[in-house]
Amino acid sequence: MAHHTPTVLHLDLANQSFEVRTHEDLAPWVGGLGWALALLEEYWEEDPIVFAIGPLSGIIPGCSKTIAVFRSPQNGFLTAALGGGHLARSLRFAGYQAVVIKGVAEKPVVINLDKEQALFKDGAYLMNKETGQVFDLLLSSEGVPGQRSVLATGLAAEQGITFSSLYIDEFFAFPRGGLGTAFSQRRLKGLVVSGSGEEDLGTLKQYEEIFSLLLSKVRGFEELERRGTLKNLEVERKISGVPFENLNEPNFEDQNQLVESFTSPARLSCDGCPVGCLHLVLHDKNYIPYDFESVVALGPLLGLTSKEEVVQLLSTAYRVGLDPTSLGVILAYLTEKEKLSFGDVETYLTLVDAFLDGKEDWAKALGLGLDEGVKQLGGAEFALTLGGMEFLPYFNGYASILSQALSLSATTEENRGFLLDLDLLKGELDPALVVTALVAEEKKKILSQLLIGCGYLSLVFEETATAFAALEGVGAGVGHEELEDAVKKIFAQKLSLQKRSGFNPHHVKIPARFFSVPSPHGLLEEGKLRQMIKIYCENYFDAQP
Amino acid sequence: MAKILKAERMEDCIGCGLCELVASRVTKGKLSYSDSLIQIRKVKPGQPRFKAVIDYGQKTDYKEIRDICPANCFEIAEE
Repeated sequence: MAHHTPTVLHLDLANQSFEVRTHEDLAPWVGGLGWALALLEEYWEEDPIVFAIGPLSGIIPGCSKTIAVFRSPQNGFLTAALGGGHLARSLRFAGYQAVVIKGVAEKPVVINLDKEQALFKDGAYLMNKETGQVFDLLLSSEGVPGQRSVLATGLAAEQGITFSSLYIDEFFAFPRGGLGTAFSQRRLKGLVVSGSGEEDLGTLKQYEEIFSLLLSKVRGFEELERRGTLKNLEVERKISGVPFENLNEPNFEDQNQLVESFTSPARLSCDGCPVGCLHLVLHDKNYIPYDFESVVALGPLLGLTSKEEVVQLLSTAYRVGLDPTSLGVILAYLTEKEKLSFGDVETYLTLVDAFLDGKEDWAKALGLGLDEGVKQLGGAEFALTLGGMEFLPYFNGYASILSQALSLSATTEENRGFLLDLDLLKGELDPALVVTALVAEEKKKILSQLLIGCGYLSLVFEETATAFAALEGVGAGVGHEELEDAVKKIFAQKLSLQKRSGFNPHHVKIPARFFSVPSPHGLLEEGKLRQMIKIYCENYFDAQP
Repeated sequence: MAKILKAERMEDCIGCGLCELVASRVTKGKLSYSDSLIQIRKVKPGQPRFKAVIDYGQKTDYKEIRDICPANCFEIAEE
């Protein structure tokens, strides 16, 4: 069959050198996550960061994501993060399907790359600046305007805070897991990709057909367009799944008002996507991106319910380069542990400043992430973490918790337990069935991450027939059986690399609070959740080498 | 009077670039963002606002380009 053979750019930070290689061995792995994991495994000992796109990236509506795989600075575990903006199309039209970054630079660098070369430049001029300033400087000096994607880290990453984001094209990000910190640890301050190439598919009629089909499907996400991912807050309102004040309460009264107050935002799309689900709010003359997780983590989770206060914290997190979701969970922990008052935005702003200063012991400890911080500071009963990371701020039930506990999802975009919990509200809850259903959803997700479609459009890209037709349409067709076989192997490889990175679901911590506060499924039982983890380990995880 | 593609409502543009991609396909039978008769550029850093640079040295009144825009930014009208 017409497999797609990826061209991979290898960047060596230590030697400031690059090499372009065609990896025929990767062709059976279809694209995206398949290529990324294979490359990560091949260069595992060098602790690389790998970015990959897929055969549909940048030319099919909604296939706008780039996947990054790396070992998280927060916990050392295998982490996958999805990023949007212009990156996927810029990589494609620069001629690269994947980028492998190895080594550590001697001093801060920016890499400016296109289809001809990778230029390593002194990045000192970008240091010690707020996120917006870093982008102002990069956009005025690097790459080809209109054809580039710009990646950069913020102040928090420079300080070594492990939950720092890697920003894309100003307002997009690789959230969670600390990819910004991983860049900073390698003294990589920014990466600029200019994609000015062109492609002659040779199967234009087939391509036009699949383009039209997928465009019509992707255009059906009107609620996502109107509300952005904040639409999920309305879903949570209906099931009382919004964690209030560090989950001391499973809901709060005026959340509908909070959702309504975020209407009429500015919107942005990733390249090739007609939805425009990245929403921005204007604060002090600056545009600030927001989504469901960041609004809940820096709002209700901290007892804040007014848009103005939430936006103040969102703005601060963006300005200094902190992942807003992780930040919210850590501030909620501090509030309870130090017996502070929930809902005091001024205190939270002061705490963020202290974080950045990194002078006090608590700030140093929590800068390593909540799990590590608790080891030094105590107060584990207030720390809502799952799978070595701050939890996603919703309380839907077993499946969404299980997905995080098994380190299968760091974001709602990836958390297939989120919707599964809603489905499970309708029937009897059998642990084995929950595990089977979650794994089935995970495999569907992998299919989308091979292509690589947006997780918020999962209904489109997780359909085998659509995936098969789309790959055919761009001349990268694989057989049905090959595709399904690739998904199975990549799922197994993911678990194997999790294990190699030190992750062990047998030992995962589950906060006791999850079993004392009513969920939409009633009170959850720890025994039942542990049983699910045991079933998963016996049937899937333990079988991997 | 000849008809041309006009960017009439760029304040609604969400920067998806679908118009650039479709323009290169319709006019040249290729896939490209850079070699397209329409180029979408940010007005300035820090702003989610865009402008369209259209090459009027060639035929531009393609309804495929007008219709692909999810924000309905374009019109085909007389010069």
